[in-house]
This record gives sequence, C-alpha cells and structure tokens, in this order.
Amino acid sequence: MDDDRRIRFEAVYEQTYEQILGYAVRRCDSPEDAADVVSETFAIAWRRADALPRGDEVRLWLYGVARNVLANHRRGAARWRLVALDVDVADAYAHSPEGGVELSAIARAFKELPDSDRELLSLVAWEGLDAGQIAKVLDCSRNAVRIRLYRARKRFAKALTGAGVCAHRFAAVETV
Amino acid sequence: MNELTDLARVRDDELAGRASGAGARALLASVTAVDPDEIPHAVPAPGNPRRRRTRRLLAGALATAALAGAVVLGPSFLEDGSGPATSYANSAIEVRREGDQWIARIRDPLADHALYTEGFRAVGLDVELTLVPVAPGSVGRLVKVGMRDAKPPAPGDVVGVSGDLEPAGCTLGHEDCALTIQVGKDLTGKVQLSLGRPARPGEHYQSFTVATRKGEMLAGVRVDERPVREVLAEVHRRGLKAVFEIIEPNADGNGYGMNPQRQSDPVGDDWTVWEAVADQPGVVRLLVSEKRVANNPLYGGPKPPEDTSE
Repeated sequence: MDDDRRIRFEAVYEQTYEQILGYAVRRCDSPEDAADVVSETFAIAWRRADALPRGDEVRLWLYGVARNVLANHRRGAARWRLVALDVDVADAYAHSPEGGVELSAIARAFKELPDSDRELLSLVAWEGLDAGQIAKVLDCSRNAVRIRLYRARKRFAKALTGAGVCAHRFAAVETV
Repeated sequence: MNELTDLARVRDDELAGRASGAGARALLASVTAVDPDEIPHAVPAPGNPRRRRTRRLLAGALATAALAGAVVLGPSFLEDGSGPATSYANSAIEVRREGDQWIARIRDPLADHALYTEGFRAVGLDVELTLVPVAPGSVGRLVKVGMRDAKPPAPGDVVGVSGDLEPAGCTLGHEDCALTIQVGKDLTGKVQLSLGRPARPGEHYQSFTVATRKGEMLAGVRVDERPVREVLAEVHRRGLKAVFEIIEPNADGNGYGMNPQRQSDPVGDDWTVWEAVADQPGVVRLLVSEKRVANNPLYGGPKPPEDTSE
C-alpha cells in the first residue's frame, strides 16, 4: 500500500465525509443503515483510490457510489458495520423536520413519487446540485437530466395539488 | 423548493465538524486498515457496474510460509506473570505472532464466540470474531469488518486485517486446512470481524454470492434477463430448489426497490429473472420482477458476463 494513495484518500475523506454522511442520513430510515452506507461508500472509494476524480467531481463520484450502495443495500450484500459510526450518526436522527401538517402532506406526496423522481428532486433540493452535476452522479447526459427533472417536477406539482397543498412554488421552481 | 429542503432530515452544514469526530476517524482507520485488494464488494461503482473479483489475499501467502515452523504455547504461558503472551491456544482458536502480523487459526469454526475472543485477548488484542455461514466461494473471506477507538495508523504501521483459508484454496474438513485471520501488529482499538465459514444444511448464507459464478450452484448458467420458466427448469435439472425475491425495478432500470409485504405474491412463469444468488445449500434465490425494463436493475446495464462462468 503506498503512502501517496493513503494521503490522497485521506484528503478526499476529510473533504467529503460530511456530505456523504448527509446524503446517507437524508435517505436512510435508520442510523444503522446510514452508517452502513457511509462505511461502504468510503470502503469502495479506498479500494478505487487510484481512480478517484479530482476536484469537486470526487464528491459527485461518491454520491454516485453511495446511490448504488443504497440501491444494493436491501440485497443483503456483504457490508461494513462500524459500531462507533452508528453512535455518531444516531444523533443526526434526533431532530426531525419541523413544519406540521402541511409538511407531512408534502412528505407524503414526495414519498409517493417514483424513486427516480425523488432522487432527482433530492439531488437538487438537498445536495444543491445542478443538471450538469447530476448528470455526473447518474452517469447520463445533462440534457437527459433536464428533461427528467422537468417531468419529475411536473409530477410532484400534480401530486401536491392532489394532496391539497399549494403547489405553485414547486411548479415554478428555477430551472437548473 | 424550500418545502422540499425542509423535508431533509439534516442539512450538510449541521454536520460541520463531524469529519474530525471520533466516528469519522474510526471509520477512516477502519477503511484504510484493509489492503484495498482484499475485501470483496458486491456493489457496482457508478456508470460501469463491475464487481471486484479479487479473492486471493497477499497476506495469506506470507502467513502460510511463516506458520511452517511455529510453536504453539498453551494458556499456562500467561500464568508466569510476564505480560501478554505471544501465542495462545484453546480448543477453538490458536493465535500467534509471526513477524509483523498476528495469525489466528480457527480450530473449531462452530465454537462459542467467547473462546475466540479469549484467544485474541490473551495476546493483547481486542478482537470480537463471529463466524457466519456463507456460500462455498466466500468461505475464508471477511464479510464484515468494524473498528472502534482505532487510532489512524502512522506511516509504516502494519494494521491490515484479512481472512483466508490456509493453505490457500484448501477445502475445510480436509487435513491441515483451516480458516485464518491476519491482524497487523500495530492495529489499535476494538475490532469486530465476521468471517465466512461453510453453512450447515438449512442455514441461510449471510453473504451475497452470485450463484452463476465458477464453483457456485448455477455455475455457467445464464439466468439474467430470462423468463422465470426457463431458469426454474435449469434449477430443477440440477436438483436444486429456488426461492423468489420479488423486486420492483426503477423505470430506467437503474436500481430497484423491494416490498417486504409483497414477497409471497405468486410469481408468473413469464416474469423476468435478473440475478440468482446462493440462498442456502441446495437453494438459490432468484431476483425477479413482473415488469421487464431495458437495463438489469441490479447493475444499471447488463450483468457483467464474467459473473457467469464454469
């Protein structure tokens, strides 16, 4: 194991740990699952340290890995479990989103969207990514992302209207 | 999309400083303690899903050579007051120091875990070892590694952890074949390991092992993207049984969901099989969906052809 690899990996880890942790916590129902996803994502990154992209792209690359880890999580794939991280992650679950009845109606409408719509909208709203960045995470073209995002927003707005939530802010969201 | 933002359980800025916390440091130490080529993962990377196939462990070759002349000292060694032993043996495990590594050799893969812990503790290691049933191809692999309170290693420290069969590639049950664990001499903190052992009849495998790989139950049989009826015929021809896992592919064939409530739904002959995994001895689990999508949802593209081989 050469030292260059280790130094480079540690730098990437420092720079992206909180973002990957956030990504996992926002998408996993339990702290244990989030801890698994973070551990597994970085274990993969370590194994592929020679291939890590440079600059901000490494974050997008890691989101892509984390997304696949999540998708595979239910398969019961061999996983890393780090006890200390469970504890570390647990308090991120301590406070739940505020906002009462309207927010829970939004949450329900959001939950009922197809997985792919939810993922696109989340990458915009939670990770703050634009279409070009999402294209890197999903490994597809920017144009494809824009089209899918447009459709996802339309479906979300429709679901919100159906749920009795004023949807104009969602329908008219900024294009990225 | 403010309202959507508010749905987030946590914002990244609320996690500021975590990277330098105890959990993050422990994870870093844990991840980098393992030689990058040693731990197999079933998770494809973005864009080009491929499984890492590396099975052989470098440390294993060293261990095999080093063990040849080793001497085992029993628990009595501890009682002379000279501090932690450099080797220890009980009915379940032998642990000894060889160069830069601790080598643990499992004498009884079905022993009480406490006996393994006792063996490691005798030489000053805080290792909790569990042996879990896995498919034949994963025997001797570490299927889980966890670490706590580990200090990040200094340059030159030996902190690798690996599992192996020794001698390499041997079959358990044959004379002199044993499961082994190697632990670097500089590893600190508490370590939790799950090592794959052969399953007993009726035990579910605790590893995700593709059943079409060389040495597995359906070695060389193409199952992906074929109708259930054809795959079942092949399963029965081989004297095996099949169980189903019903999945719900994403529309674009990249990823899927699984509804636990729908697992006992009837599966149609014309449904699509996406993958076969080893479930327990003599039983494969077929991942199937009613809907057929353009890409294999497990891989976001075709299943890697090298995963189907004899």
